[in-house]
Amino acid sequence: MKKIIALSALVFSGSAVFAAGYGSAGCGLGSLVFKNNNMTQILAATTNGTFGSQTFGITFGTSECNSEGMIKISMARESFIESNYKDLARNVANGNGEYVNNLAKLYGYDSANSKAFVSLLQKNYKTIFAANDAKVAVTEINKLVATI
Amino acid sequence: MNCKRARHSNVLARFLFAFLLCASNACAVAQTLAAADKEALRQKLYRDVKDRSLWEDPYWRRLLYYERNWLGNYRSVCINSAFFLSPKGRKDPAAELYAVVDGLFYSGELENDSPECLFPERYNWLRRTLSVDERLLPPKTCRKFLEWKGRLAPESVSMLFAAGYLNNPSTLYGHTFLRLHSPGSSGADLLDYTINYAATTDTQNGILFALKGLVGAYPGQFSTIPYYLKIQEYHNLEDRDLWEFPLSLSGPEMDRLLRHGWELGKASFPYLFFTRNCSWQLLPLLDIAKPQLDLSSRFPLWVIPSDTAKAAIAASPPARPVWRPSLWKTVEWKRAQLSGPEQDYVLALARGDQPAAIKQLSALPPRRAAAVLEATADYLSWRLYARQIDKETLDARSDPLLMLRAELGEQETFSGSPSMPILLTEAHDSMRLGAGVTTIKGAGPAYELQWRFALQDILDPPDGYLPDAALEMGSLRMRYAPQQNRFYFKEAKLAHVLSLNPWDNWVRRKSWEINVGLEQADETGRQPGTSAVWDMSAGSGLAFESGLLSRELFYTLLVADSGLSPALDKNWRIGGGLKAGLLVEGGPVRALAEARYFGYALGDTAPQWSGGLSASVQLARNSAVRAEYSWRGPARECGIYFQQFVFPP
Repeated sequence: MKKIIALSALVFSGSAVFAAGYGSAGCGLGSLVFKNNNMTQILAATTNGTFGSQTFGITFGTSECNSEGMIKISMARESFIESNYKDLARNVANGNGEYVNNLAKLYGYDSANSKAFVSLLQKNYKTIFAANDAKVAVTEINKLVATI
Repeated sequence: MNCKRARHSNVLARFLFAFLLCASNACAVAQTLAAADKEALRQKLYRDVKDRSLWEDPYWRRLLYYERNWLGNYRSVCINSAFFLSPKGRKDPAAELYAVVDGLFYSGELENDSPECLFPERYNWLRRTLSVDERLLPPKTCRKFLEWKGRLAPESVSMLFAAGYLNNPSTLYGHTFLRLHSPGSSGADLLDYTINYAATTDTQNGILFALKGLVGAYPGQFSTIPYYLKIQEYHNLEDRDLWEFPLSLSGPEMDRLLRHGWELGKASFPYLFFTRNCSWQLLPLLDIAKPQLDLSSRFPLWVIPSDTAKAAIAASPPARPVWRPSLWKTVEWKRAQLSGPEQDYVLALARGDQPAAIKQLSALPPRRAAAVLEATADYLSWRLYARQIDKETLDARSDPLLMLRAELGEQETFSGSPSMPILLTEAHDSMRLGAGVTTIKGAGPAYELQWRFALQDILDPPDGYLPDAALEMGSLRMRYAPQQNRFYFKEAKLAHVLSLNPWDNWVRRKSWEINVGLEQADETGRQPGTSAVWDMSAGSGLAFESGLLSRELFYTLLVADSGLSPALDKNWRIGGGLKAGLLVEGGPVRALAEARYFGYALGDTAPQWSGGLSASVQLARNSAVRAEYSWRGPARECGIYFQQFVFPP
């Protein structure tokens, strides 16, 4: 049903908080999940209640979202990499998994030719993920894709 | 610009009269004349609405969430004024409908802001119902809505059910939301959007949160959240299974869902934990998409998410559900494919001397080393979500392992997938009724009726529920003892939660229990049924699993206990003690032996010795027989009960 927000540090001012500080992946949410090592914040970020401001049709101003509460197409890859950074890193290291397959799709590969994309990332795992920073990962993946 | 467009559309609409006049400066004239025509048209539409009392149309009532109150008046449940075009719209279905008619004549500059673009389904219905001539009143071009709809453009819709999660008390019953599958999304499931209904909350005070939730003080709103964030939330963070049930909506039904979904962006509803909760509010939306479902009228009293999921599944054509195992189940499945020494490597890499373990790992063939590294990375990730390690530890422990794994390149590590547990639809229903007879030592027989609102105790058939767990709310055992001619409550539990977690060196999770409610303190030595005590207790301990005979679970808990009752000396007591038990299960039979000893330091200091033996035999999916022997203080009783599970009326 609904979850206890007792742990939440965010919810006091709802949308204002999102608009102010956390705007990046997932229309202002995803970055929190991994950027912040404080578990209570992680909980707060992903708790049902705090999503209230993401209502569709209501303006919600973060850089990666359009006013309909959807991730801008131009920011979809960044959002996805940032929100799923750790899961993606595991998938890339393993050379398979749904996160890396989904990323392949975001980069325009279909299931027939995504394998080349995935193994390219696996070979360059260190370059992409050593910095432990989603922005570096985005830049490096974009560079690699340009070489194909 | 505006003038040009007006003229253009007039031409299209074949306002020949206006067209002829609209030569040099005649645009203004054309508009005036058109305005006169429009006014006539508006009056005609008003008459249609009035003659047919269209505001009484069930679909209209549904679209605006009008519900009849106790005075017999219709009033919308929606509390956001932006959802209505008329200032009186919330309380007056007719006024709102006339305002919607007026909206057809919107002449503002920005079509996106027209009522028609804000409330596409309302206008879709109105245009069809009144057979509005599109040549006279052309539909607006709603660029924003169409873009939004284009982004979602689902090829199918399914209902997702996040299974219950015992470690967060207010989300015990699970959660439901809708997923919009984008075309060809197989293999890219994560990129879909979901439609989610949730409360916007404002407090970190758990009790205040619960109270406000009970009285509907929180507004609930709809949102479209990317599916990968819902997975982070339920699958990773909360370690729950996710079930996906296809709803098999047709193209026009999905169009209606999206048109109304867009309207819901402006709506908010009072969020009520038991009735108008996350799960219920999806039902009117589904009813609008596919009116023959008629799900929303089925839950007048309370709503348990698993029940709404069951209702939606039952009303949809049969389809294969999809199961996404929780993170722990994935780890467990991988662990089962590792040998004993390989499992030790995982523990050493994750929790022990990692550099030493990495050195030893090079002795393994690459394929096995890769499997160990993958399992360790998953296990570390689970440990973060289970709050056993922090982010720094995760990074420090898993980054070197992932680099090693990447260097090994393509390797066959794990194949297949965890086996799917028993479906929600095959689980027993949520409410339980029971009847039986018991003999009480020295007091003769008593007849008992039982009623339990929800959901599961440790002896109920566990299929489709969390194993080794009890989650009971509102459980009554009412008795009549003919010899004393006395009615009484043997038990009136408000809540009972028990989570037995068999000790596992990878998981290391304790077992725990909470109990709040009325019971009979027979240790006071009073007549049966005259020693009601309001009891609150909480305990924590350990459980171990064995497979000696079939499956046995031993547990022992340290318990803090308190009681309030006129039957107690000083009317109260506070103390603590120990309880230990053994659960045995095999086939349809589950049996429990339990003994408790509580001493009390404050208030009534007489100790409590109690215990019992009970067994339940499942007869069918929804029925069981239970036998119970119990003692408490000097009291002894032995009873047999028939129990029937039912879908809430």
